[in-house]
Amino acid sequence: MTDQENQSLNQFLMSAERQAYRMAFIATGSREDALDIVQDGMLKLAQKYGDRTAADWGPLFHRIIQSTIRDWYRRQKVRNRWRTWLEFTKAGTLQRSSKDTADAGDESGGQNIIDLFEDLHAPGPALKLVNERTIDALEVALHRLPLRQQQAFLLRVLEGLSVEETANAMGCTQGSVKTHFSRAIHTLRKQLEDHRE
Amino acid sequence: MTAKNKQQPVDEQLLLSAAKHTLRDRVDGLDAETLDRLAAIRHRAVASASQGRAREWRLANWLTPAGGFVTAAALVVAVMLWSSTSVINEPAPVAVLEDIKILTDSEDLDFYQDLEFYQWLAVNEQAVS
Repeated sequence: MTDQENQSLNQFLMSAERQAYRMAFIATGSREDALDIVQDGMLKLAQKYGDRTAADWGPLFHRIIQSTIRDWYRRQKVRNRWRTWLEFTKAGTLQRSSKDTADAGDESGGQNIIDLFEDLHAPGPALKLVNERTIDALEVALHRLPLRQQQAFLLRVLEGLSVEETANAMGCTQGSVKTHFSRAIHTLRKQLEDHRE
Repeated sequence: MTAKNKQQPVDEQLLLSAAKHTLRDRVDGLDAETLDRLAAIRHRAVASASQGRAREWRLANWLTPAGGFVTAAALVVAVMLWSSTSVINEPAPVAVLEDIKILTDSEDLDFYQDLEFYQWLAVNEQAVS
């Protein structure tokens, strides 16, 4: 690749990296995982499609990032099943011990099992701010959306893609994008209303 | 249409607008460390694009003569296989009609071994007479 081509690829990646990172972060809830996803996406784009025109890079990068997120999600699903089971066991122990503590008159009490599950899905350090700022509540609500709904929502709202472009990035039909997007809005609205209450 | 239904599109627009603002704010407000790491990843990716091209070019240069050699070798192997199979597939000698006639004939086997001689003799005798 010539220096000029390198420069234009660099420019493109610079313009896309923050949003890609943000989407990956909302999906994973982890900075390290999000950076890994962006890294995989950038390397793949550069090595496989570096010789394409700048106009092709946008849709290709969206598609690569979305499929990398999906791959991560599939791997996590299996890992989370084990983790959830382990947390369940741990939570059972905690619940029993906190009940014992409460019975002993300690007012601090212990976390209930629902809280422990929320911990598992909340985006790390931001968790402590969940009830303090609506902005965090929205991000948490986005993080909790089913992956396909989340992808459709973020691509449409954050990236400002059309239904057709979103379908291309997600590798599905335009009808599916409309369904995922509509369900995402419904779920978010409901979750935020619950948060307000 | 109920009052609640009339309100729904407004809520949706508000939600979308709030989401857009929130997400954009978060994108713009990324911390310095994350931005540095993103920049490092980007530089690596751009460098790998050039390396990737160079590697492909080297591979193509290596593959072109190698491809010719592989084609020639494949041809040689194919010819060898063809010739060997043609020998292998040659039908095993079986008794043809003439052989059966000889085997079942009551004449002495020596007669058939000297058959060419008798034929020559017959031709010469005819010529003499």
